[in-house]
Amino acid sequence: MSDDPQDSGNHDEAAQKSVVLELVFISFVGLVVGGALIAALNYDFVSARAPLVIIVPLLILVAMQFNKTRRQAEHHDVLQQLSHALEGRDSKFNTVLRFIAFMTFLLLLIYVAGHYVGISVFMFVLMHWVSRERTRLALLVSVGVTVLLYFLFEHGFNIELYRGYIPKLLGRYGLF
Amino acid sequence: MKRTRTADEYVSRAQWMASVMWVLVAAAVVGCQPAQDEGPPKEGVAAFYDGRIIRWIIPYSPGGGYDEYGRMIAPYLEKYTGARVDIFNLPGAGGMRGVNELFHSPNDGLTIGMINGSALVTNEIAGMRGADYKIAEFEYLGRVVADARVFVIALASGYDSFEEIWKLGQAVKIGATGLGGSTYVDAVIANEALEMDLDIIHGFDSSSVIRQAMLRGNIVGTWGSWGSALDAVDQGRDKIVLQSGKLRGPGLSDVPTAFEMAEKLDNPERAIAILMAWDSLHAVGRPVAAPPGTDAVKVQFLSTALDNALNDPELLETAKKFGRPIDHVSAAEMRQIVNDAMVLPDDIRELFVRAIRGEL
Amino acid sequence: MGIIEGLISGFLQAISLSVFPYLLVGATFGLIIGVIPGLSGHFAMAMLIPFLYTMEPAAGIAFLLGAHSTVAQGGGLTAIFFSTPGTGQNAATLLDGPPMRMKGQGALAAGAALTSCFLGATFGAVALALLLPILQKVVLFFGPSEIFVLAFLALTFVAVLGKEDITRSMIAALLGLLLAMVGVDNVTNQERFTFGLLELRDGLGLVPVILGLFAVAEMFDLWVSGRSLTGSQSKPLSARETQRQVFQGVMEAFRHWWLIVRCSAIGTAMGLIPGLGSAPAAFIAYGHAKQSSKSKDTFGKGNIEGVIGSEAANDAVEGGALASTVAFGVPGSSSMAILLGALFVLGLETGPSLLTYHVDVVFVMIFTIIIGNLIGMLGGMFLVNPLSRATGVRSSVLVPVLIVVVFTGAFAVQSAWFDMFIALLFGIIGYLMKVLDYSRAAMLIGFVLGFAVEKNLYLATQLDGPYFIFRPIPLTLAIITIVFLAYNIWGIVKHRREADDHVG
Repeated sequence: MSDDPQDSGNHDEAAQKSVVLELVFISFVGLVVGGALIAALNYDFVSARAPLVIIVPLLILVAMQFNKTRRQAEHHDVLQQLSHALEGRDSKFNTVLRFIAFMTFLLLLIYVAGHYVGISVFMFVLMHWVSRERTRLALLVSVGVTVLLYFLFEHGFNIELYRGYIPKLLGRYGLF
Repeated sequence: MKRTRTADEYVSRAQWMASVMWVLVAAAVVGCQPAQDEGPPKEGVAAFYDGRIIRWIIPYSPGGGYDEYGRMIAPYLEKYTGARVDIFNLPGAGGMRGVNELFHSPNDGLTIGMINGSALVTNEIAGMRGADYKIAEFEYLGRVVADARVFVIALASGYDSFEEIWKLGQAVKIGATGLGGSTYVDAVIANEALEMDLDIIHGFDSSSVIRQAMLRGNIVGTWGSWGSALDAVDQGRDKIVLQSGKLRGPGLSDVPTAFEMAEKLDNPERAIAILMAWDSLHAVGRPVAAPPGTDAVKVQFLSTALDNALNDPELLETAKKFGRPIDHVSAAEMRQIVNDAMVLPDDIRELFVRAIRGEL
Repeated sequence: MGIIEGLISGFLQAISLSVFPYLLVGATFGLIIGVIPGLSGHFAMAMLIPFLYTMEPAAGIAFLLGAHSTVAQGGGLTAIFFSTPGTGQNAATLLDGPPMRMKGQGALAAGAALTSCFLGATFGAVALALLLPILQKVVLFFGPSEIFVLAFLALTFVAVLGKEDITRSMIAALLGLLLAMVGVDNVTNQERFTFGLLELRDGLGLVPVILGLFAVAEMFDLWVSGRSLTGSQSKPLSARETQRQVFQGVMEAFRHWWLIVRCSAIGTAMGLIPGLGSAPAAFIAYGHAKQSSKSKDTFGKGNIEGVIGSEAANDAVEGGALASTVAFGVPGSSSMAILLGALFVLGLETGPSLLTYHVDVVFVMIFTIIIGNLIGMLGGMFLVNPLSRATGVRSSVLVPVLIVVVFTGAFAVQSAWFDMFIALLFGIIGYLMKVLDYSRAAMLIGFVLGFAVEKNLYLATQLDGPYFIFRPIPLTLAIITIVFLAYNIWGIVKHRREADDHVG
């Protein structure tokens, strides 16, 4: 630990956020596992045995961890942190959310327009738009990697990469 | 200001280039495709297929039985259609994923698939979830092979023939894979038809795990396809003691059939009825099909090509070498077989549904 | 033919002009496949099958096994340099490989990894050779009861790996176990946790989950933190420094020869157990390396022993996996199933006849593994420099590219868009776990072993009755497990007591 008061302030903040995050995480896990418990209770007895044997200790541990985290969070203002983040004033949180959004966008784009369009657009947008790389560089890398993957997978491995909804639709009309 | 390069950088550039060359060479080796050869211009539907790409859906991963068949047959199909045949592996859900995909693929004649016919018929009959197809609506091109089903036991178990085991009931443990799977349904139907009560232990992961259990003496035997039993039989560890067909198949002339055993029962009628239905199910085997609604002319063309391919002496020779038997039937016969398999007397159908669902 | 005769013949065949070029090409191919995330040994072999139809038996085997042997080496390199496991087996290398890279010791790790792989594979192959006379008995040793107890023992390694915060590690491991339950239970056809989706009927794919938890999560981290792959160093190492480190890494691996022997033994033993796969072997060897090390606390922060241990094990697994394939024609894993099919195509039988009449073929396999790995090691060393330089690329460029490659790899396994979604989902989960200090390794072990534990428990009770645990071998193994667990728990309690004393 350093002696700089400013530094320990940052540490504190990071620690606070971490505790709040864990609280949210562990609550979410608890809910999901609770859901699994309800589902498992409806299963055939033979199939339900193993999940139940896993879920019961898991819930106990989750409860223990929840308690521990809650006690740590007593000194921090949990609700304030949460509203702070949800209102978009926490920059790290925003970055994470944005990144998730981008990757979701990538998958949706692949689903609709096919693998090649998806990945090239994704790379280009991230590099040029978000990171402000030079247009030429972004284009070169995006197109280059796409072409490389095309040759490697389609010709080399004979694996057809996802065609996408629109190309398939067009294919049905004989345009491809 | 341009600074002079250090020795380090020279070394690294040379290495970098060497590595790049190496990778490119490897990529070139990997990516090389043989050239297509030209021929005289084709007419009509043959012209349509000339030089185009046919997508052949195989609903299992590379390296498995279906995949091997596909890769073995593809070059001959290419020969007789003039098109390039690209194998597309689509594994998952016990073959259902590939079949679903085939059912919904464009019916332009450029997509075909090899499907696990028997399993899919049972899935559809029993109304299994995820069966997003209608087995009767496919445009069949023919069948590659039917699965001859055999009951094989480990000689280490001390038993030597089917008669010995027949009436031993629960004392004899036999193995099966998943509930509703082919080995399970075979075991249950055989139990029911031949009025025996062998203890069926299902839930084995795969036939290899079953074989291991047989080796260890945990179970006595299992139902399965003839091909998968061959290896151990040839090595003298296992013995085929019963076969499912109406007649003794080639290579299995010493092995009694279930039908022969059924004759020994007091009331063989019911047993025979069950066995007939069972047999019609197995006859479906591994057909090749095109999506519903594919143009009749194209279906005809492809069926003929498949017919030629599966009767090509070179292919038959290769198939024999690799132990992958071919038992071809034409498209018309295939359609008949599928119809027969789907049309069952009510009580038999009921029985099968219960067997597949594990209710027996 | 006798064993010595077979050995000599096998060796000569493996290095003969009609076979060696195939070995070389196969090994090179395998190395490249290994580097690409998501593609594994199974895949490499499946790709090569079409070429087999026109090959001689020995050449065909060399081709296939050569490719299979080097995949883990390529995967180790990507794990170290890009925090992306090339294959499932390399997941354990992620624990200490990338931290070493961050400290500027990436090439050191690479040299050690490649060498450990080679030595591990050699150990596995030699073990296979030595076991040949009793191979059949050894393979028959493992029935459901034994496998259950062993898988359970492997699970308890979580206690070792997650010593620091046992609650969090246990939560992670149990979650992993629960995830393994997703899918259709083939005993009752009960769909468990599948949300009615066809895509989930076979459960969560191992590759998309690993790629998500470890690769995508790392990409998240890099992007959000803005760091580059080289961490504290401002730029990657110079070529000369890289070379120096690589050789140093090789030396280090030899210096830790005893660790390599032990971890290889673990790998080989786990390879003998059918159905467990190679990922657990690497984690268990890692756990053992950590436990037996004098500097336990540096594990996870860049201790070379962690890299050596996991890489030695993941290659030694092959020798073990070949055993049941060769002895009885019963494949120990999906890659071995392909090998069996290939042997058939090549006109060879497996089982006693192979061992009695064609033992030279078995030795061709053994030597192919050894020589193939050697080629992979030497070839891999050439790849270290370019890969190392590549890590110096800005993360604003590198992260998008790597993400795309990872997702493509995730798709390629089953040609399933859904697998990419799984990779994303687990990428988010993995990132959260990384930030909050939950052990992803524990979750992975739970996930991989969950299925084996449940399935074998079921079969054990069906075949040996509910008291199967009291049979001699399972009982012995169970006692070992309990002792091991007790020792670890005692260690944790003692550790905590000491920590409390310090604070108080």
